[in-house]
Amino acid sequence: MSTATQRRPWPVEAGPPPALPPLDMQLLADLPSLELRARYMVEGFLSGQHRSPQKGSSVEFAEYRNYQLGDDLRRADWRLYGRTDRLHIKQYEEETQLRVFVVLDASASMDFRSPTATMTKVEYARLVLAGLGLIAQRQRDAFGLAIAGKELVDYLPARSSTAHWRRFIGKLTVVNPREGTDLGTTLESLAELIPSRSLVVIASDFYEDIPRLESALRRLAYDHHELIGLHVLDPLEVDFDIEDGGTFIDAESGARLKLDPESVKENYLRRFNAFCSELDEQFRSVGGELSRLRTDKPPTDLLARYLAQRENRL
Amino acid sequence: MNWLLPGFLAGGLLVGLPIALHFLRSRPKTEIRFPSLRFLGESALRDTRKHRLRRWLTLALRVLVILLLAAAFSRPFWKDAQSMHQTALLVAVDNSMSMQTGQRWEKLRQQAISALDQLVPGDQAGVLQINPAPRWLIPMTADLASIRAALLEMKPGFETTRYPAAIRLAGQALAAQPAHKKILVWMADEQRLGWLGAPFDQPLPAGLNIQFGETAPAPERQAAITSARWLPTAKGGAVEVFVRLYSPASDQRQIEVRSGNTVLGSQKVTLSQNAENKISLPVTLPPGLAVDGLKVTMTPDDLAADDTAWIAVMPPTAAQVLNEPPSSGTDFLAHALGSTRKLSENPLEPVAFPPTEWPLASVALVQDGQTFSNAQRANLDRFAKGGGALWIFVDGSAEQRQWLAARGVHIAERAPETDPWTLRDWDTESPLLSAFGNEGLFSLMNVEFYQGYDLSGDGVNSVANWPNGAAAIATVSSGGQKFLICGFPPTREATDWMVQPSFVPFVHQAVRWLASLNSIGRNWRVGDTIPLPATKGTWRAIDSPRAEPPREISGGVQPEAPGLYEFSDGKTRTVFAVNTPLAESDLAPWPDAELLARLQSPQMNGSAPKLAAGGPALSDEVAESQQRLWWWLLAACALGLLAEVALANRTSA
Repeated sequence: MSTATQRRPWPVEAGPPPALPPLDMQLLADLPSLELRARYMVEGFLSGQHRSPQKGSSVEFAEYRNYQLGDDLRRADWRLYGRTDRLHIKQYEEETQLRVFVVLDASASMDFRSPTATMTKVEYARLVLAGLGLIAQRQRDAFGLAIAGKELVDYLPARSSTAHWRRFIGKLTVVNPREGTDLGTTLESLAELIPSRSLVVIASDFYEDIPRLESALRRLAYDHHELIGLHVLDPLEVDFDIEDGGTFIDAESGARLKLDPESVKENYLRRFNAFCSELDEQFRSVGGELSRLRTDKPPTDLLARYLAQRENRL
Repeated sequence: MNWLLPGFLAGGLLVGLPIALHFLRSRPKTEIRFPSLRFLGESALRDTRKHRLRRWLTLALRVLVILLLAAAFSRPFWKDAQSMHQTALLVAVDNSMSMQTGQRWEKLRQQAISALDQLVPGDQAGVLQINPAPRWLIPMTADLASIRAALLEMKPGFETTRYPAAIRLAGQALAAQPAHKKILVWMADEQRLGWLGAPFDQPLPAGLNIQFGETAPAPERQAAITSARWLPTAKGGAVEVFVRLYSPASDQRQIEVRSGNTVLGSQKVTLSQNAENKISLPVTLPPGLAVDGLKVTMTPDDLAADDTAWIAVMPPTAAQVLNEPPSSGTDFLAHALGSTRKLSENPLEPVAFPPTEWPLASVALVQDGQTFSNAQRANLDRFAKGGGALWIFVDGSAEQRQWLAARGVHIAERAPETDPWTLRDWDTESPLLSAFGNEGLFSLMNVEFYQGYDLSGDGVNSVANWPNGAAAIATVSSGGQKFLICGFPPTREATDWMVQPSFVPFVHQAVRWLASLNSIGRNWRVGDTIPLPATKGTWRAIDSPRAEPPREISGGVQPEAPGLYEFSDGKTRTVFAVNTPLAESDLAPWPDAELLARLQSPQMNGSAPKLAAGGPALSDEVAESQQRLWWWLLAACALGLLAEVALANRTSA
């Protein structure tokens, strides 16, 4: 059991923890790697949390790592030291109570960033999913990854080790949004792979065929998976604050429309909100939950909700 | 569509402004990569097209508003298609006395009716009466029957001819008509007198066809009684008649004097050509015959109207002299007038100024300046305005000086000298001195004066002058009034004339002369305004060629026909003789037909005039003002503006 990630409980008598400064999205975007961004976001978020990440007692050996100054000498593998003359620390993979699978929609529509946003939708989704992965890793939960394209592009089974985290972050980093996606097919494929009763977090803009998506969600629900949808949206999609007209190009299909935003805004918003409501209803109907994320706002609320949901689950 | 002010159409170029703004509006060529067009798609395309359509509609409305505004300011009007084929005919009728000559009236009327017969239903016609001042008898109308009836009913009057104002009015009235063809039928005998002063260098508006009547030559026989007066004597009197013969050869006429149906005298005379023939006709009045007036007739010629004259027989003047005694000193004038009581004819009995209105049939003697400032001032003003005879003695008071100055007479006090002055330059031709023979004038020249005032002014006609040449006694004509002024007061401090033998006959003659000037004794002419008392009375024609019912009038009257008239207010009765206008008897036509032709605009080509450089034709203005299309355009403009605002708001929203 690692104590490095433990947090000192916040004394009850001291009242609620002080409000954290809002997350600087620009700074977040300027960080050079996804891991750093995820760590920056999660560290900032978890600094006020007091819940112990450790749960359960059964452990199994996972890997060795080089001894570092400050490591507890009790965790050193003295036998290996005797054979190799090098001091290694034994790390154990605990038997987790939660498996989290994050699904990233790598469609071309996710590769969009408006001038007011600091990152594209896929970058934002990657960041959120990486954050969730980091939290899971710290909670010793197993976390896996699925990249959705026309089909299941990539898949990483759920593990909780540090090495897995590296693979996880590596795969997330190299995700390249494709032209189109079929999230329904991907999720159905995923349902075949993941063990039941997992927490499936889907980060997408869900510009999909709704009946097909509904079918996939029902399939996952049937396997007793708990579903969390992250509806990642650019502020421009939500507000449609476009002044100048021009030719609109569909990011996925490449279709072109010469439009006057001023004239179509009202209808767009009406139809967009109807779509969001329908999406909400789809997730609710399968017992899931859909969170709407704007790429210009920090996802800390989502992380809090995730932790709360995890706690309920356990 | 025609435009009254086409220059404003240039304002329509302002449509370039909204058009330029429309096209210069940011039209981004940018490509916007968007996650998904699923919420835009066809419906958005429709929205965009609808929006674009709205923008075009807004632009169209803006352009329309500007064009409507420019059009409204340009004052558009339709030239009535029917009026493009219409004819407007105006008959200007010379109803002067000369038109009574021979068959002039009938011939010209037939010409006018013939022109009227050429019109077709829908054409316009009107009748303008030329004399005494142009006035519409029937304004332009499509009721041609009423025009014909009016022409048939009309008769020539006794007015004096004046053409210039009438032809201008007729020209303008016709020019204002929208008709294609405009005809002015000039139903006049082109009397020379009528065209005097006409501006022949200013043609009538273009597009008029002036049809002058056939000019009749001067008649072979034409004479006119130019004046007649009654000279009473002890046993009756004499009628002095002046006759002017206009025909080239001498002529013989029979002249009669009548009172009612009674012939009082008759004489056959031979008239000399182009000269005033003075005929004195002794008249014996039958005993017991009350004579108000006399009618003098002459053997009628081609123009019979001026062969008759009327004379109002004057009542004795003794009771008509108003004299207010001077505020101090002896009233020498009263004494002089009182001396006539011993005379059997024309006694002059002075009476004090009545407190109310002074009778116009009086001679008023104003001896000092009191009358100009006290309560009598209003009566004096009314008396002078009404043509009453005034004799004013100057005493230099401020009020008198002001009153005279208002009538163009200025007085300046003479500087006193050691030696008395005598008067010089006596006008021996003046009727004031008719009582003095050539030798009798010497008695006037010896009169001495110690105080006096120089008289000056445009209307001052000197009878006698001071030694320095300034007028001392003068008759004054001012604004139709004629009065006598003596530049000294009738006091012993000013002169010794009152104790000289020449004073009484001068006073008698002066009063009689003034009496002959007053409104009652005047030989009134048709067209003159006869002043009457302010109190209402009955005006009645005693004898007139044109029957006129009695009517209640006050203040004044303008008789339209010659004759003997009476005005009675229940207390007093006054008789007026009104005769034909003098100049109207000269029937010579206007000699220069070319000058008349100049009145016709050279642009006469039978079509409506085009817009002149100086401005639009009058008919266009009239058509525009009748149609008032600009108002509808402005209303449409306002509606367009409202629609534009609503649409623009909706588009931008």
